[in-house]
Amino acid sequence: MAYTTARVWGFCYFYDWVNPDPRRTARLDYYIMAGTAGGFAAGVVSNPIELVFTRMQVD
Amino acid sequence: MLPEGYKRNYKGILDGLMKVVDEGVLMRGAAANGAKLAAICASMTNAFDWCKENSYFYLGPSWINRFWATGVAATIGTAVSLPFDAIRMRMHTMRPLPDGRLPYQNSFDCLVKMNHYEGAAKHSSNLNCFFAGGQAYWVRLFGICWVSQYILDYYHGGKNVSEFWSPAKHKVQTGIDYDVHEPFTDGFNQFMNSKWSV
Repeated sequence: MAYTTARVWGFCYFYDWVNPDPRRTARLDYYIMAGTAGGFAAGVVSNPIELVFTRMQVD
Repeated sequence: MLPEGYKRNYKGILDGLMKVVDEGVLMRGAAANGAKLAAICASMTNAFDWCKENSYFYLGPSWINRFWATGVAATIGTAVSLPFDAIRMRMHTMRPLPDGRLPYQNSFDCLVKMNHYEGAAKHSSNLNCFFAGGQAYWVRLFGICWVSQYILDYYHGGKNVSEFWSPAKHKVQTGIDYDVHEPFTDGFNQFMNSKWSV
């Protein structure tokens, strides 16, 4: 199942870059990756504050 | 709530930060906290936008669009981020066991141990261990998203905002998405607003 998933995903993803047919399906936009990266960075940076705040809450 | 010997008794954020630095655990649970925020940022806006735009097709400029889209987004945000929040909470508040060792080595270890000891049917439990307090979490998330959209509306309706955001000045609903509104649609929106806005 993993092999088939990777194979089909690879075909759909890479063939889309060379397919000249205008009736292609929409690609994923990159906002999801920006959200993941930005959110992770923000979470790591704000961790000390969250840590202290959470400990004060449970007190 | 905790017995006196268990309290950390931080006097404030600064005092707490200094004590945490002394303890050497400033970045404990950072991976889980990062994963939690990343999950929220990467999941909620997409669902919100999809729901809002699809119901807009049927309802026009109704408050229902924003309401149900925010509800769906909060549900998805809760589903994907609460497991990481549960891990973060345990990492942030854990105390040494009687033998002096810490219960969890890192965020991933916490995830594995929660899944093994609390999330297994063998121990009469299930993956709900990752979703404890989910209802309150949902209400909080929904409230934050709901209120912040009206604050954004207020801000976008002001004078110091660029022309890009002008649809907000004509009561066309904006949200946390960045759609470009083209003139014909905006004109139609204004017409619908003037006639049937509810």
